[in-house]
Amino acid sequence: MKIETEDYSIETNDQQVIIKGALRLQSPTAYDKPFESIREAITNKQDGLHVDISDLNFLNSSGVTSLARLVLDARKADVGFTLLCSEDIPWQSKTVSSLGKLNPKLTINFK
Amino acid sequence: MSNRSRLPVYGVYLDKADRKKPLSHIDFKFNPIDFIAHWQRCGATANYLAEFQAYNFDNRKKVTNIMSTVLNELIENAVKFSADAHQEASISIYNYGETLTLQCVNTTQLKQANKFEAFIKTLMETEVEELFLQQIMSAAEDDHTASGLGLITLKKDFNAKIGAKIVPDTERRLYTIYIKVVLDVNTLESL
Repeated sequence: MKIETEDYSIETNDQQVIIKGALRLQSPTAYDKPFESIREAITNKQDGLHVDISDLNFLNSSGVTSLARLVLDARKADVGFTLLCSEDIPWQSKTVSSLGKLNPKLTINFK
Repeated sequence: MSNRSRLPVYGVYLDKADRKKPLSHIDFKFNPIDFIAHWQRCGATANYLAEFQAYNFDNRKKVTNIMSTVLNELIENAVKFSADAHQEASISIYNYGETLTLQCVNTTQLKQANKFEAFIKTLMETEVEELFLQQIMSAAEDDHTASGLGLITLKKDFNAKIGAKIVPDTERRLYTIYIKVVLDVNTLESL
């Protein structure tokens, strides 16, 4: 499944979720629909979920809240969660590392 | 707030005013309604101003990304929390060489002004990493229309110094919110 807009794309397949572009939606609730397929993947993928955000240049604070909710959902479901990030995108190295405190099973990799 | 004898002023607004003349200064004024109708204009404006401001940095790509992130959070806040979507709001950038000072101004109602004042006090008094996690947990439990994370992440991730002042407009029963964000140029290069 792929959601594609002028600003961002979210592709969910059997192996992983790839989010690219600039995600700056109006509120945390505005992320419910675009992130629906990721929530479903957390429910269905007992072997763990891989989310690649290494080409996500921007995520506003509403998006950070929504990403954190996914990390917490994975913790509740006891599903492993791996985030693939980029060291070249400043908000990722800073913000994402703080999310590790929300879920001991969150793995953060940088490329 | 109405019984207050002096203006509520926090953070960098309490510092001695910088009397240095800025190397450059940009004021961008907008009506929130325009951005509510076309939300992507918040990001487009942030990108445009960031690109201009990052021009003289060694790592232009990285600084553009940081500046755009900071500006976007300030613009989104001004749009979301303005009392009257037709009342002008503004964002200004002052380049002092060693620091960049950003100021965002918008008007709001008493309820929102009180809520903002309580938030800014917490931001000044609480360890920022702890506040970030508290805010995420609180936002995760409720369907908030705003995350409340914007200024927290600017302070936590980019070492931004933050200030705020709230000026009552008794005639119109509104409050003008000033938010100041000071970024250190060397820190931006080293992040």
